Parts: sequence; C-alpha cells; structure tokens
Amino acid sequence: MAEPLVLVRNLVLTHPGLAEPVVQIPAWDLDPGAQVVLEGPSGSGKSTVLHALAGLRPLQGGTIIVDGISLGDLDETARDRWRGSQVGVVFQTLNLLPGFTALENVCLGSAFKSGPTMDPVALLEAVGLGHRLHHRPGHLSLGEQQRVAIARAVIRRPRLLLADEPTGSLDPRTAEAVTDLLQHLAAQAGSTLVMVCHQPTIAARFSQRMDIRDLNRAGRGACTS
Amino acid sequence: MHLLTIARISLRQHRVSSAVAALALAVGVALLLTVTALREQTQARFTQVGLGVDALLGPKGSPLQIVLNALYHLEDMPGTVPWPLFTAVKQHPAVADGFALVTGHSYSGVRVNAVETRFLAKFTWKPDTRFALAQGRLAEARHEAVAGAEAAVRLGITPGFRFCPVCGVDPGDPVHDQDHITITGILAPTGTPHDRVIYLRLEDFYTLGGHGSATGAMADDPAHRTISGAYLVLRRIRGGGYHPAIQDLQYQLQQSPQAQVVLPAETLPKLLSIIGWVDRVLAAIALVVAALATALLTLALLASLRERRRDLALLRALGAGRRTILGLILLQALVISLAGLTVGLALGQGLLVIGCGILRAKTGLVFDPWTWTTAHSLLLPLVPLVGVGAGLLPALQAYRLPLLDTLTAPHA
Repeated sequence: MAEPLVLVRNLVLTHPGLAEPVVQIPAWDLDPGAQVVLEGPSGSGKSTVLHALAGLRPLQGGTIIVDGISLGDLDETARDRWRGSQVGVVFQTLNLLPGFTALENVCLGSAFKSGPTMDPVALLEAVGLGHRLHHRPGHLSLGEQQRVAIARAVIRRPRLLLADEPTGSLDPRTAEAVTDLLQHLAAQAGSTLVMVCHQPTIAARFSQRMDIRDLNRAGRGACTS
Repeated sequence: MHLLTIARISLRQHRVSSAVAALALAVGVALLLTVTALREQTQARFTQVGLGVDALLGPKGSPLQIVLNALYHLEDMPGTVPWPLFTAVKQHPAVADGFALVTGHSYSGVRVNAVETRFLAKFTWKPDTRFALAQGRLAEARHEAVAGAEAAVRLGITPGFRFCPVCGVDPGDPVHDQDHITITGILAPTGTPHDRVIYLRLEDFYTLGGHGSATGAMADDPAHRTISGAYLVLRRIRGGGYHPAIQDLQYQLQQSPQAQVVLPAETLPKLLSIIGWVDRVLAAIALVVAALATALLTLALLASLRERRRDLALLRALGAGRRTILGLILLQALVISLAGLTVGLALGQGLLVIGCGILRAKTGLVFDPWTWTTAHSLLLPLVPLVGVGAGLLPALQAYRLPLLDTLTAPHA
C-alpha cells in the first residue's frame, strides 16, 4: 500500500481574536492521486483546513506533512517556495489577475517554479479556451475564468491540487463541467485533489467525500464512498 | 514567465498612473538637464578670457556695458573715447597693441562695427589664430566691408552683396541711404561673437553721410576722431600674467574723465553673478519638479498597490515569495524611472537645441546642445536610484501584505 501523500496529525487552527479553535483534527491521511471533496456547513472550517494544507496560514498546533515535508517547520518564505513547486490552488472567485490575458494568467502558474511544466496553450485548448488565449478576465464568463484558473493550477503538475469552492459562483451546468474538468486534469497531472464544496450535486461527483464535522469529531477521518 | 514580464504587464494595467509618474519625472529630468547644460555653457562661453581681448578701452560708464557692447555686440557703448587718448594708451608700457573700433551701426539686426583694417589681418582671436577668409577678400576700399560667418548666414549674403547701414541698433533708426556698402568677403567661422558682425573699415565710418560736419574733420584728420573704444592686447610677463604696469594704466585712466580700461576677465564673473540667480531659481524649480515627480511616483505606486492587493496576494498564492513581490514593485519603479529618464533626456535635448538656438541668436555665443554635461553624469545613475527609492515604501507595504487576510477579504 502506498504511503499517504498528506498526513495531518493533531491539527489545531484558530481564527485571530478567537480563543476557541475552529478546527481540531486528530488525524487525517490523503493518498497520492486521491480526489476528495470536503463538505460541511458554512463556518465549519473547510476553507481554513484547505488554506492550512496550502501553507497559506500558520498552524496553531499539530502537524501537516506533505510528501515528507512538515509545513510547521517551514517559515513563510519557505512555505511560499514550497507552495510554488508542490501546490496548485483554485479559489471561488477572482482567481485571475485582471491585467493579464488568459494565457498570461496560466503562465503565471509556472512563473515561480523552475523545472518542466505543461504547455499553457495546449492546456487552455484542453479546457476549451483555445480561442480565448488573449482575452482578459473581464471579457471571460465566470465559468471561463474558473477554467483558466484550473489550467493555471495544474500547469506545473502539482502534487496537491486544492480548490476552495471553485463552483460556488457558477450555475449548476457550468459547475458540473468545471468539476469534471478539475477532476480530469488532476488525474492527468497525477495530483491529489482536495475540493471544498457545499453543493451536494457537485459533491456527489466525487468518489471520496469527507465531512469536516466528522474530521473534527472523530479521531481518524473515514471517507464515505 | 520572467519577473520583468510580470512588471511590464502590471504597468500596462496601470498605464495611466505609470505614464503620469514617468512624465512628471521626465519633466524634472528635462528641466535639470536644460538648466545645468545652459548654465555650464554660459559660464564656459563668457569665460573665454575675452575672446582674445585682454582689455578694453572704453568711455566712462558701466564696465559691464562696455564688455557686452565691444565683445558680445549687445547693448550700446555709453560714450566715446578721443583718438589721441587711444594712441596714448597704445604706447603705454603695459599695452602691446590696440585696435580701435566704432560701434552703433547695424543692418537687419546685425551689428556693423567699424574697425581698423589691420584688426582682421593681425588680431589673434585665440592664441596663434588670426581671422581667415572663407570667401572673397578683405575690404580694401571705401564702402567695402567683410561679414562674419554667422552674420553672412543670418543675412544670407555672399561677396558682392550691397546694403545701406542703419545709424543705430534699434528699429526705426535712420538709414545711411546714400552709402551703399559692398561685402567683399566672408570670414571663416570662429565660434565666437566675432562671427556675428559686419566689419566696416574704420576710416570709412567717418565718411558716412548724415553724421554731421564733425565727421568730415574726423575723416580728414585722425587726431579729431572719436571712437567707441578699442581692443587692447596687453604685454605679458614670464608665466603668462599681465604686465604689472596695467595697474598703473588703470589708475591713470581712473583719474581721467574720458576713458577707462576694463579687464573682461574681471568683469565677466560679475555678469555671471548677476545672472547667476536666474539659473539658481531655474535649478530650484527643476529640483522641486523632480522632487514632486518622485513623490508622484511613490503615490502612483501606492495607489496601484491599493488596487492590486489581491493580485499580489494571488502571486504569493502561486508561489511568489515576499522578496519576489518586493522586487516586483521595485522593478516597476525602476522601469517607470528609466522611462522618465529616457523621455526626460530626449525632452531636455530638444529644449537644449531650442534654447541654444535662441541664446546663439540673442548673444552670438555658440552653444552646443550636444555637449556632455554634469547633469548627464548625475542624472543617468541618480534617476534610477531615486526611482527605486521612491518605490521602496510601496514595495515594503507589498512585502508586508497579509496573505490570507487579503485573499479572503470581501471584494467590492
């Protein structure tokens, strides 16, 4: 059996100004290539966990180990560097830099990492935007913007692909298409995908579903298949 | 994607504020360059040690006015000097030679001075260099004259051109319409105010009609002549200094009610000190503009930073470190300042070409707009440094940007 890509142990995350932790996860493992949807009500800490996995926030307790690297041991500069080489992130909205074209936005995904990357034009063609290469975000629909953001996130074949409600602002049909694209490209890039979602129909498209409340309550989280 | 590309695209996104900052910087650079270059050239031209003239014999009055009139062909001479006094001065032990001149005539804005004919043949306007003819010959007969190189260009004349001189230098002054002067030669350029004059033979001046009966006597007998002044060449002692007897000559003439000896080397610095405040004011204005431009650059970057907080946070999320963000903002400041410097140098050069042309026309001094100046040496390294300095505050703000708070902040 393969070693887990991500090991979360005794994780404690708090919000500034709050005494009580928002997240307490005793243990959670993610296998390489897994595609997991993280569900839960608003304010339950889904995005907080995702940000911690991305190295965007410091840990108040416990450890997150990704591919053998303990994020708690990294300072902010090292976390930036690690994120640049190992993680792809897609946010709910405003993922793209408005002054950059679709192609330039995708190229930004590999700007801070050396080594091989995927062909940005081919990627944009793969997400159905081959004809929109030189359009700025203002001239793209929300669905198109998310597809550009996904292309950017996978361009450097990240070990970990994190998506924070990427379909939250999309209509159901577009949301489904974007989710399928995300899953397809994650599989193609060999990335482990964790997606935060509160839309049941979208969550249902994942084989592994995890409720944040289960992670918080239970010792070791169990995936529902 | 290279950081420079990201900086370029970001600047494109904020092109208006970036262009305004660059333009303000360009104006500051252009003004500093123009003021400095013109000041340096003015000082250089006005300190050409009298254009070959060690001293000037002139009437009582402002020494500066005498220098400006005799050497730079500006202003009027404040009076006249009797010929016998001139010949006496020529024989003084301090004086090696002297060339009498009469000023006060003109043609189409060009001064027409009467000089002794040997002035054009013997006078060395710079060490070991006499006037040379570019075309034609020297004036040899009555109603003949030679033109300086610039005067010829300005009037568009060649040997054979005929004109009637104006008795005065102001518009509306009477014309000697009975005296048709023929240009016989054009002098080769010297790059000095000597180029902008038409030289009439001194003896002919006294034959011009309309000067009254007194000039008739002057034409017949030199002892009756009055002159505007004279260029004096002083004797030198070993080491190059003037003969000490010059002080005696100056003292003697100080007591005289008729004339004085003026040393351009002493007088011209006074002129520069008089006009010095003008360039100090201009330099101060240029510095204020440059300071404002620097502040504008900082404000432009701060304003764009406010709009780009999420962009920068996204770049961090994509793996750009804090130092990369700091470098990005400094790079943008550098690009803006380099653009400002380039445009400023071009603008300044344009102003210099125009300014030098105007000064040349007004003073007759040859100003070269393409000369390397102190301003070039200072501006080239300083402007990029100042630009980066102006970007430091915005860059530090970007460096300290709270990543997660910015990414998760609600958007307008």
